[in-house]
Amino acid sequence: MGKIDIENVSFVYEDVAAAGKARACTVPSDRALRDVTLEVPDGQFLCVIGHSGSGKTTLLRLIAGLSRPTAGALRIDGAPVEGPGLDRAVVFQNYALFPWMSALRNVEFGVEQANKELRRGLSKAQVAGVAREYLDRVGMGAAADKYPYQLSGGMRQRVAIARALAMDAEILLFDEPFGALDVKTRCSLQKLVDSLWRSGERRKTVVFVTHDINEAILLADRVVFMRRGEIVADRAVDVPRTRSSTIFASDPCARALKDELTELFYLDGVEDEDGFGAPDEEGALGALAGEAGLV
Amino acid sequence: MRRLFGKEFVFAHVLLAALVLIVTCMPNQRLLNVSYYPLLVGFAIIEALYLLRLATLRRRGAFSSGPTDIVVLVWVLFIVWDVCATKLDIAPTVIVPAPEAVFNVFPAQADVIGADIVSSVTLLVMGYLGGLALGVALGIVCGWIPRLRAMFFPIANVLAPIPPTVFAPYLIVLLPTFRTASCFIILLGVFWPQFLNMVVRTSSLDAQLLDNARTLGVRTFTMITRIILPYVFPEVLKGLRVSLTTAFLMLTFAEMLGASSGIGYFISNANNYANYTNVVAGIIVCGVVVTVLSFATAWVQRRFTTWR
Repeated sequence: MGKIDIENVSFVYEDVAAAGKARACTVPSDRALRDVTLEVPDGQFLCVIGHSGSGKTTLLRLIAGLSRPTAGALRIDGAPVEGPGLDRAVVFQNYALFPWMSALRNVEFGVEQANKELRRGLSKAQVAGVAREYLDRVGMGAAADKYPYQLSGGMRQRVAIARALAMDAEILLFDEPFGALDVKTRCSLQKLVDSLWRSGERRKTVVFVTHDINEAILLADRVVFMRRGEIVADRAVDVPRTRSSTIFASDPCARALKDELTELFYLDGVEDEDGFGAPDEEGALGALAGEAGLV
Repeated sequence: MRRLFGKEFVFAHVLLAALVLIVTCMPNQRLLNVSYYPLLVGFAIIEALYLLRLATLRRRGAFSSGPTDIVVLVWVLFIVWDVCATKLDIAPTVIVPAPEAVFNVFPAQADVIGADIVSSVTLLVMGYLGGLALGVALGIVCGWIPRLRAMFFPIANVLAPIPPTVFAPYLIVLLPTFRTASCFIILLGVFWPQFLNMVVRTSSLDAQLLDNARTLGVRTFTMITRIILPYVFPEVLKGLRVSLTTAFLMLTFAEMLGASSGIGYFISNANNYANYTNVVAGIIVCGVVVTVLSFATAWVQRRFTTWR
């Protein structure tokens, strides 16, 4: 099972909280998350999108157990989240792998940890077997003995995905995993994540943080849009799988959702920059659309 | 591309031939009872190392003028030394001993020198490894636990700059044997730089790397052995050679202060008797020992730095 319940969760960073105390209160704008309520059912692929600083990574860190909510409750399968756990596997954008371990050792380390902590009773050979199998599945079998510095950014993320899957966690958390990759690599990794997620015996719950609208619509069952620590839109992606970039031309639902999210992105960005809600020139639109992955 | 075995190579061997001729064919009356064979063996060893280096470069398809330039310089220095000390008699014989006499010390006193090398290297290795292990272990613990770091880092910053040599006279009185005192001085010399380095390195461990480990359910012991240690390891390796030099400095200093064995003692003892032939021979032994150890450390560095 991998059901996530987030109830009225707020979060204030410690340094901000310390500064807030000096003012005798914590004003709403200090909060990285503001009363966020979200329920992610088991097996759902949820994408969280928003501008930088909108609180999407903070939300992911809370689910991962790397930070504790300042207020509210966060539960996984009914149990409150006390800290990081092996029921959740995380793929980070940077330092997704340990640089002193080969690709295979990185995956093995994840499997070993899960095996040790969750008492799965796998032998050393079985751990190595699982690691190899998942490296093969992400197309990295031939580079098993390579160190991260010998791999490209895309290859490193493939290994990180292999580790997350090999650990067999209930929930997969992705923190802008493809944010630093070129368009071509990003597309192939999106396809990989999609096919691996669909091909599993049981679909895992996925929370995927991104600032790319196309990526969100291509991958997700559901997209939430965050702005200044709040969820301002929560939409289901009613587009049949398998999806490719042509769906934005062929599927009216995909097109409409993209337009809506683009609008949100756009308004959000203009407000951030100018403090007004209305666009004033085409240049701003182009820049913001570019950031949102539309060009 | 310049050739490894070009004009410079020929020049180096012309110099060597001249040197051998000077040594063998122009004997000095004072040195008639001194064999020149040990010196020739010394030349042969230098030449062999030089050719080995060239062969390695050739195998790698690389070029470096370094080995030839160095060997030319060595032969020129030997020629100047030999000519000044034995042929022209322009240098005071007692203070500038003939190279033949210096190289004769090695076979003549091989047992003493051998025992001294063993004594020094044992002391050095004990102090060096002790300082290294303590520095790394305590540095990691203090770097990892903020409270300890806040307490010990400022203290270390006060104590570290004090040269360990100033503790020497007191430590010799305080500790039961001279060897323990020497060992402790070497340990101090190696410990502080490693400790400070480890505290800084551990406390600056990348937060994302740490998060990555935490999400894998890594507990404290695994965190230290599988994450922090490998993370700081390249830094430890980087400091190995500098620490070795410091350790050797402390060792020879300690030995010259009042030991009854060791290379430092060999030199200072010979110095007391104005036996500068032995002093120069001791200095050469020192150079060879420290070079061998330095090569060994470099090998360890290369062998274990695989991921950078």
